[in-house]
Amino acid sequence: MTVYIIKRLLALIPVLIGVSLIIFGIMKLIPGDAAEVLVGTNGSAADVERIRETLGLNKPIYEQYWLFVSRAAVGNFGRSTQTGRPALTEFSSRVKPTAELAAAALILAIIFGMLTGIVSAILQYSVWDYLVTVVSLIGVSAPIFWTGLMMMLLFSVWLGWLPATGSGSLSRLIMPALALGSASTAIIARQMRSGLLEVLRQDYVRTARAKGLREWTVIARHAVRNALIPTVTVVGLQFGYLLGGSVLTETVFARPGVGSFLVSSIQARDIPVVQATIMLLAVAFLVVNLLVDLLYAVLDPRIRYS
Amino acid sequence: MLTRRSVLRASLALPAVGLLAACGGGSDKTPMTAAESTGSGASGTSAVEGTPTPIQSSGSAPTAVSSMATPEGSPTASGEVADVDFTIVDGPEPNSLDPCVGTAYQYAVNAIFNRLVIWNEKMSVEPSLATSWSVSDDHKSWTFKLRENVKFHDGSPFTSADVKATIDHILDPNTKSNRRANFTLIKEVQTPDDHTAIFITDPVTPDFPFLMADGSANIICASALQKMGGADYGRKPVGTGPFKFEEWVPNDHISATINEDYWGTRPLVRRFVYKPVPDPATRVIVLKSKQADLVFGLPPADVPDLQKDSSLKIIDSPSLTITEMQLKQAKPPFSDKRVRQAVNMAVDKEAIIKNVMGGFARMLKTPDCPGLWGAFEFDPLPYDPAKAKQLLSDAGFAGGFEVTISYTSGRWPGDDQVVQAVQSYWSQVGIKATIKKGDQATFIADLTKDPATNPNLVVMPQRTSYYTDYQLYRLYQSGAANAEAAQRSGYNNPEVDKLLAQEREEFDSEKRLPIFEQVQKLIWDDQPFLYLFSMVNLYGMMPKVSGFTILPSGDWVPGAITKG
Amino acid sequence: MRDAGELNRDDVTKQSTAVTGSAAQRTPELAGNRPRRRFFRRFRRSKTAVVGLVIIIVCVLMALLAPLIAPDNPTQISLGESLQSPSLTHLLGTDELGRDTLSRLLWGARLTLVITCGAVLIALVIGAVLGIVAGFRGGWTDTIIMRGIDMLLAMPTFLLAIAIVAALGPGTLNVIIAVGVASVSAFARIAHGAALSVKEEDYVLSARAIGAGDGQIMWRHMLPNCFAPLLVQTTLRLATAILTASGLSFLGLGPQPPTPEWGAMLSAGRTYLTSNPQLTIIPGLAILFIAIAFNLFGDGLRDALDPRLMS
Repeated sequence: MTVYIIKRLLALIPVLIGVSLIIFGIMKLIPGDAAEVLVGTNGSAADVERIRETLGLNKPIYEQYWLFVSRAAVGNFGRSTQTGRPALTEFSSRVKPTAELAAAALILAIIFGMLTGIVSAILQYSVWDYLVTVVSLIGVSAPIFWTGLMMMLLFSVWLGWLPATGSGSLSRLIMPALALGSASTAIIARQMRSGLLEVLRQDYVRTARAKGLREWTVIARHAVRNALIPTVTVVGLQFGYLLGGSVLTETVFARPGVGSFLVSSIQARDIPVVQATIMLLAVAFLVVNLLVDLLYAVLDPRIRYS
Repeated sequence: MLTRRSVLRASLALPAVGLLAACGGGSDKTPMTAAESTGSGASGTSAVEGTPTPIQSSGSAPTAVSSMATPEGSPTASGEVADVDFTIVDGPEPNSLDPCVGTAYQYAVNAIFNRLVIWNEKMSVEPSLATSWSVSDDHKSWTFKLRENVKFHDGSPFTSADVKATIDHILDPNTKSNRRANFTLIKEVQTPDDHTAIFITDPVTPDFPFLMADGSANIICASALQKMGGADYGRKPVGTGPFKFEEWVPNDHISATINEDYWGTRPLVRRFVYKPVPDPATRVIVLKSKQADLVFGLPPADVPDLQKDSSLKIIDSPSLTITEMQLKQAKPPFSDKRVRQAVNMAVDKEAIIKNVMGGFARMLKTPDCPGLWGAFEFDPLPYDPAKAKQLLSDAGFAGGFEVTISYTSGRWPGDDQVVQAVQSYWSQVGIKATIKKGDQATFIADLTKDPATNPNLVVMPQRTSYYTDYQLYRLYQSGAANAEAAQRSGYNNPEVDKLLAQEREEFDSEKRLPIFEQVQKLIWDDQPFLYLFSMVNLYGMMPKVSGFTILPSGDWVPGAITKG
Repeated sequence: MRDAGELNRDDVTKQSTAVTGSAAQRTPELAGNRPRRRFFRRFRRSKTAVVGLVIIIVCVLMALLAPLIAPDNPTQISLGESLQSPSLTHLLGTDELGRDTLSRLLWGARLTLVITCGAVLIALVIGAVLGIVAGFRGGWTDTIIMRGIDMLLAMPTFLLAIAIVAALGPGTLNVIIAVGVASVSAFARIAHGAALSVKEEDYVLSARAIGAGDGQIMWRHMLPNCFAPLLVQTTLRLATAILTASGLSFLGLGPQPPTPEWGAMLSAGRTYLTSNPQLTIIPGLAILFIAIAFNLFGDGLRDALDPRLMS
């Protein structure tokens, strides 16, 4: 197992290099000049040139990439062109609200998704099953930002139950987590339902039933555990979706965090921060996927770690 | 407070009344003659109300001013501090609270810092950390007497060394101050003793005290800056203001608590909190659901609806921010005055103000910034698409032409709609405009692009000006256009340049006014911009809030706020 | 290592549709050579899929007929009539510049569908070509292409799309490119898997034996083999693409005014959320409906092509 983990970690390195290349390449396509933004409307051409010099924007492109990668490897992404502080500091000071949001959305999605999925599968073709199917169809099809705005309109403006913006308290987390987690809930529910339905058709379930085990025991002990395996992968992949979705959710709810910071940094052409943010979010996504693979391996004894 | 505001409104309304009278006299006139007629008649032009003397060079004025010991009024007897938070919501958070960087919102900076002098509602300056000032006979050196027994929040005393450190910090290229260019005329800061600062300027300027009222010139703590370095100082600022910086949770809030040792009027609330909410619609929701005491930057379209809500107070107050479109005019089509007049006549500005801005904007009638001392108003060109077409045809553009309008969205409520309205109006006279909604970087790049190589580019910036010379020089002086990258319209009128040079050396305010009038008349006739409107500050608050005033300069007075 | 790694990779392929908003949990690789009649029977049996198809057809008709059926010019502003509630003259009211919302919705269907379909088409073509070439060539080509795809896959779709469109600048074409490129990996993996599965089949080997060229084999034998799974993926991707594209529009990175497009309409209407909520609700519902339709249709298609799911 240890060897397997180490091998998987090593395999991440070329992927990370590739990701850094993609991010660096994309950022280099950007028109406009970070130096000019910094100088603003009142600066002079000399100011622009001076800032360009300090940012290393005059060096050849491969040198700029090498500088980026070698520094990124030790967590140095340069300084934010907006605040003058290290991009990593800016990123990490905003991680907490985003992590809270993603975790809350994921937990909501797992709990509701699995429960409704299991119930739907057991009560296949019942009213409940149809209801879940319809609601989850809306869940995967509704734009997050629209769902968020509608919730805000309903719960903050019309009913006055929940605060519309900010972070820090549970009441401020409910709407964003629901808006962000709705699609994942639906996906997990659908996966759980179809996974369970398929397992319930398998021979070993029939055998278990034939043995005279109670239906509940069959489902809980045999079916759900096996249906969990593909569901775990889906849950892991939801993490990437949640990271992307947090950009929209945080923007809609004026929630502090990495996502809304990314949008404002893009608008300000704060390239060090944009690079750091996308790079670190990609790393987080890769790490979570690795963890999911490991969990998957634990759940499915058929996988060998050679 | 109410009186102050109504005085201010009245003062801004006055010239408009005078102008109406003038318009009534004249019948239908071509834009050029209309401008001429207003210029000739004494009742037609009127300097916008305000102290006609920004600051006197003689010894009497500073002493007169210095009698007003505390700018926020005398400390109130009933000044009991309420143990409450005062929460303000506005747009995106600043990058730094280092005032010298110049990007911070005034709300937070005003709470934490003081300047040597501050703006009042008439846009002249009053003492703050400086008690009096005077200029030498050769006009080259300005001596400021500093307030004694003032302490920074970290306990260190405020001295002339801090004043020098502030100017040095602004001029330090590493600070990346966006107002640096305005301060380069300061050649030296002398500190003969702890409570005297002498500024040597080259070239001379009668407006120097105004420069010291600039938001960038809030006095920073020299020792704290040296200890922390600029970037960290911007995150944990140390000032002399009524509130001490407490914490900054990025994108969530900035808070400050009462400074018990404050030299001026003691605040009436314990804690001040600023929360950034970038989207205007969300700010409306915050206001409606009563999650803040005060919300800035309300979208005009929502105001009628909000005004119906009796549990809210909605306030509009004039600002010194103007919206216009810069026409790159070094080459055709905009090098032709007739074309520039035509693009102005093609747009129904009144309809835009009424329907898009909900009436919360004022039509621009001056190339200066309305509300400033020295601003003269003229007749705006009327909305007349037929005449516009005629002018275009006379200029050889009967078939119209194509332009690109570049702007950055979301800086003020209504920007997207105004651009689309202009696009639509222009299309009716044959000008085909493509809208380019860029981020800040693209926008700045377009704004500063060479007018000679980008003749069909139109850019919509929003600008705040604090004094007439500042506005006129940076927008219309042909040399400033290239050196300061502030205006790259390519506007070049040698006569205007000459007059601006004259007024810059004129220390007698009375003699300055006629020059201002003459130069503005020339510029208005040239119509170098598409003049749209001046903005109105729109904000809403809880009814129990009192004592909040926002000055046209964007400054507010933190000491007087109470929460019922 | 190899076993586990491969298994994992294939699962990512299978699940990649799920990440982005559909519940496709398997690649229906068996379906390619089923008789057509059985497919239509199965498809018709799924009422929901037919509902989806009907909504799609209605939307396409709306888009095509917009010039004929729209009551007003969608870009004609009339400031005097701004922000009106629905009435007989303006069935869905007017927006902040007095433009007729219904007309903008109808014309908006056009651009919205063009963006969505354009993006998915880009992803489909690039993905299919890369996947098939990698699978067919094997060796270094395979490794390089598929590792590149892995790297794209290492970035969450929406983040990648934001990064690309932020670099290219806002605009209709750039959104199409960004969403297209960000969706390539899913198609590439499906095509790759399908190509690998038939590479050693008798008919491919015999085609090669009789001297068929590489291009011919890929075009004639491999592409048809992955046709069915690619078709399903395409339909389901349309649902994701419209959500991603409208998300970009919402952030102001999409088509520029006065162009009517649903995401941009929603974003503009958002300014008036409390006073005129219909400006936000209407385009949002339009996006929701078309996304539901794509999902229903895609699910129905998958079920019809994959008999294992039918009970």
